[in-house]
Amino acid sequence: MVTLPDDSATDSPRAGEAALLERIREGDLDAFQRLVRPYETRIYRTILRMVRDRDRADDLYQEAMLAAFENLHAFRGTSAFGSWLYRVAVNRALMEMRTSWRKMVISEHDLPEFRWNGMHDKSVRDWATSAEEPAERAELRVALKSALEDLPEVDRMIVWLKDAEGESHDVIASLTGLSVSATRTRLHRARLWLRAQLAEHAGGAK
Amino acid sequence: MKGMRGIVARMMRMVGMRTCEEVVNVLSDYLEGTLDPELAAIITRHLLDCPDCAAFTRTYAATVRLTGELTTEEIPEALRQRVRYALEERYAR
Repeated sequence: MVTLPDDSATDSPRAGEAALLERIREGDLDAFQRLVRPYETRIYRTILRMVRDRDRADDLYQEAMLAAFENLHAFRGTSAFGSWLYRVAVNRALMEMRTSWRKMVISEHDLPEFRWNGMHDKSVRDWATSAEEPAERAELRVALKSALEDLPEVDRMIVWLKDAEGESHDVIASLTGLSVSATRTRLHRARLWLRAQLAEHAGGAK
Repeated sequence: MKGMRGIVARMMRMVGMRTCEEVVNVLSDYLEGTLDPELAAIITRHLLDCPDCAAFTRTYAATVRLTGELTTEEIPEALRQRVRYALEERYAR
């Protein structure tokens, strides 16, 4: 087995990655595993969120990583390797899934309602402060996880990529195949819907 | 009802104000800091005067924060190994 250089012994993470990429080109699979290790969990979590079913997530993850390995020659080093890998892997998983996505949209009835003069229909209870308490927070996290699963797949993906993984609207648009403006609109509606589910759980009005 | 809300919204715009509905519609951009500064200032003033919108904004932001806390799952070691075997099977020289 080839001894791999330790990242700490190199000038920068980029230099460490370049050395590993060189070894992968020579057929070193250990180097690939070493290279992707810091990013594996993030990719896995995203795929798991897409499909909910662990067996399916495992299969998709494996396919995504094999696709990333096959596409390594396309990595030019112009962006961070982790970002590139994440996009290639998630895109691959999304390609597998898109055809089975339900054509569901969030109904207007599930969004906040307003009076004739544009004011809130009901008074809004502020549960944000109680959500800071650890026990309440833990309960709300469980409720949120469950609510996320009820969102249409594309909306769940958009919320996850933005609010959990911190991706930009541009990246989300390219991964989902939607326009930036559509991803912005869907993100907001999905957040409104999730907030309403949490409000009900926290005992407040929509 | 929707038509009436539109009329009220237009009247409020004329005096540099926004309805609660309009505030909720731009919350995402407002919290992200991507809103036009002039409109952002109007929203900020509205939030100071409207307890419902202030509560709505705080709970909306709490929802976003809570989503960011769901990143707890770790990749199972068995899956990592499975990928390794698949790589070896296909690509080992």
